[in-house]
Amino acid sequence: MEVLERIKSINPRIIYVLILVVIAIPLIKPFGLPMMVMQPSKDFYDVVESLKPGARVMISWDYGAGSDVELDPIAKSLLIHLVKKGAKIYATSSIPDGPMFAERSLKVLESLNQQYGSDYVNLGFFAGGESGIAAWAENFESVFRTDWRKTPAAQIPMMEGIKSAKDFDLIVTLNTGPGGYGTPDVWVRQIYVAKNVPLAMGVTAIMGPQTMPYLQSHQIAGLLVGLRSAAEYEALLRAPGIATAQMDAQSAAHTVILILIILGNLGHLADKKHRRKTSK
Amino acid sequence: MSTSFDTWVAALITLAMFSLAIYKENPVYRLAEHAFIGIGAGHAIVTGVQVIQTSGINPLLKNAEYRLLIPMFFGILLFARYSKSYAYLSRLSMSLIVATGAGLGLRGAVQAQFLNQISATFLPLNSINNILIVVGFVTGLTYFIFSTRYTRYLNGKLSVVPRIGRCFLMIAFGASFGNASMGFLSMLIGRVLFLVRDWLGLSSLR
Repeated sequence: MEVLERIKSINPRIIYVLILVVIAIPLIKPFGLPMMVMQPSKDFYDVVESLKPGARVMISWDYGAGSDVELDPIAKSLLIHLVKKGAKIYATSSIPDGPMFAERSLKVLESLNQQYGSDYVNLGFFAGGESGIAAWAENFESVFRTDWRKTPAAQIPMMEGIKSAKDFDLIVTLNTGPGGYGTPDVWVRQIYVAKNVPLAMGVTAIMGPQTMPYLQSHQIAGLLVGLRSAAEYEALLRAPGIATAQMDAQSAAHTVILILIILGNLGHLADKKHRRKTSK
Repeated sequence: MSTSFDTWVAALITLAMFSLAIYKENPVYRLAEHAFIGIGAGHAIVTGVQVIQTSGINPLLKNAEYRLLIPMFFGILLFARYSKSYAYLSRLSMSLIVATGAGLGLRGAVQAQFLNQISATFLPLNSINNILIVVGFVTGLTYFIFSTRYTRYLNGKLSVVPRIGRCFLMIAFGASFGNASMGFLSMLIGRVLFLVRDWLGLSSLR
């Protein structure tokens, strides 16, 4: 009983250090815990799988520092899958930090022998949020005059024939939510509703419940939510990687948190019982 | 352990951020926090200037696209806010931004956020999932009807409907909270991964 009462008043710093250690262990040596693949991830995978060779896919890196840990693994798996399908990749971003994260993710394409300008291009940041999306969805050249490396669009081979959003077979936003300029709502309004172009999303875990109704109402073709979906996508590609290991850390941390919640409640009950006894 | 100067700076800043939780608010933490905000703001300004250059100044000077002078003029008017005498001029630009935003947003919002989502709840009651969606949708909506008292109807038995709706709302909030906690843990995992992999070299994950 005394032990339980002590647990209730444990120094939170000990808990923080414990969580740090528990997270670090699977990152150094992953456990490889089994995982069930959920339907939204399968839907996303099927959408990419159905693309024909040469399909044009735009991906918008609508996230910055803070969300990269959840969305970078999604970007990486998606890029690998798109290369397998022979798709042309157009990177962009509605937030100023986005192109840097796009550039970092696109490095995986160099290792897959993809040529910049003919297989993939980074178009950089477009200003204006919703107005910006509506502008390039209507007239692509009016917004994207150069790529991120300042090469004029006319000199980039894969930009030929791109006039509006309708020239894309799939548009994907990797989205951090309300902090960004082009939120998931905005993309649905300007891409799916206004232009009827297939739209898919990868969002942070916190945005999952808000974006799920768009999947259920078939306004988006696929939805990946946070690290878990990234790990599921790796499982679908049969290439377990960084997201799978990070999910091991996530599971380990949650297990410790659950144990601490149970112990904390037991401590609270023991304390209550003890107080009752002493008051009698 | 890393020999890169950049990695060491990033690792020390990460540790400075952790010091808030492990120790207490301190000058090292505040320095790291202010540097983060300063770098973010600085980067946004540089990107903004680049966009003005590539989408505005370059086409104007190189391609003689004089129509771009109109948005540029309204953009410059925004800076009139800093003058007490001419602040009213910035309202012209602001009204243009708000009106365009509202017009564009409304065009799709009714379809995307109302009609399509309402029609997605008209489901055949042939599976548990569909029943849950329909019941949750109807009872959840009734929770927000404040124009009448349910206690008036059927001896007040109807008041059970918004109560069921409240349970669905609580489950939805619980799901949001669970996902939020998962998101925060993911951020922590990201920083720990950086420390053990990039800084200490203890992990080979790529």
